[in-house]
Amino acid sequence: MSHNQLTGTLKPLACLRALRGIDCTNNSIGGTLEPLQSLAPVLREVFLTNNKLAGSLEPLRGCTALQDVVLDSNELTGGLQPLQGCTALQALYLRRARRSLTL
Amino acid sequence: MWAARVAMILSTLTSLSAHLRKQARPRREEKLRANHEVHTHNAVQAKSHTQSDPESSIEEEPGGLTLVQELGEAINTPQRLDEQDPAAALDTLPDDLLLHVVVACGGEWLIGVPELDAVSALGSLCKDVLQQLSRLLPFVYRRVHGLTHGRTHGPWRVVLLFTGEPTATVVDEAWRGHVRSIDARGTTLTPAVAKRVVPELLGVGCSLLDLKLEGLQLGIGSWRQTFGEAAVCSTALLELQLDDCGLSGPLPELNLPALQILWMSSNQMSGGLEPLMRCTALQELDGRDRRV
Repeated sequence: MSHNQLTGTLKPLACLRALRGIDCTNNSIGGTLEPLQSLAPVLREVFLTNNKLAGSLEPLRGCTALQDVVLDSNELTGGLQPLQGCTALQALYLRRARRSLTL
Repeated sequence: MWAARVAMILSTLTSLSAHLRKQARPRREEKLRANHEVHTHNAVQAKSHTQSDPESSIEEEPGGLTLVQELGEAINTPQRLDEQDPAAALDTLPDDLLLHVVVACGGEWLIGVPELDAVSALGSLCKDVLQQLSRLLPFVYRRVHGLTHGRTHGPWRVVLLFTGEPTATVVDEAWRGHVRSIDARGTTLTPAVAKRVVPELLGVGCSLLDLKLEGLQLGIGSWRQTFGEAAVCSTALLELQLDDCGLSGPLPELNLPALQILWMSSNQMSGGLEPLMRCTALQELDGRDRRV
């Protein structure tokens, strides 16, 4: 769904329990990453660059299958500690996040 | 138990492979010769088919998943096979085990359905195997760029994977269940055919498994303007690609419970993601333009 003009939040995706990869790059999706919590066991790829997502990375804490996380140009805050358990992580992009996103 | 069965099948296939290659080689040469004759004498083509009405030989299936389900039944107790003479061993195989051998011959489109070219030599191993296959009529697939090919190929139920412009004929054949995959990327779609896409390819009772329309220049318009108002509710569809089609406006309500892959990038779709909520088998939501 990348490169569209989608709005709203990620909440409708929370019920798609088989979802392994999400690419909604370059839209105007807001809200938080919280709906991704329910996808934790299978979620591998999150591509949400250039949206309006806020809040912390905390909802990704249990997403241990994550391999690629690309969240540039959003309004995320907090630290990277929630990703400590993501041992399969191969790529993490958080450029142009809010200054309060601490490393 | 399973390991023993798998080992037995692998062993059989190994010994069969050389045998099949020997069988397939003359068949391919025959085919080439036949094709050459078709170009020079059209009448030969009609005689080369063993059944006169290819339409009647294709059985209708209510949904694409039944292709796999039918082939995925449990297998019986394995029998000892004669590795010295695989053809002789094959004529004593139980039906379900023979179907496993057929499936194991390969194909990369859909698990459980092999490609016709990979299995066609099985039918020429011996008369008993041919009869058994004729009774079972296993599903196989064939990739085509036109619909002039005969769909009857000995003891096989052939479904077609079509690549090319989605004409009215292609839609007709998909609606009948003969075409199970349409790859129309980069081609064109007339407005008249576009109006048939949802009711006859993505609607109730449709058996198409994947539809790829990436890059079709449909003109900037909403889903409703382009495809009409029919409900998108196929229970068979596994993959839908509609990238870069010039679609605008809100997402349509997608009631596609079997859909696993959805690509709709580079359009001008607006609104929220709620219309996707009933795609409960979705695994991949857009795989385009990934940077990693």
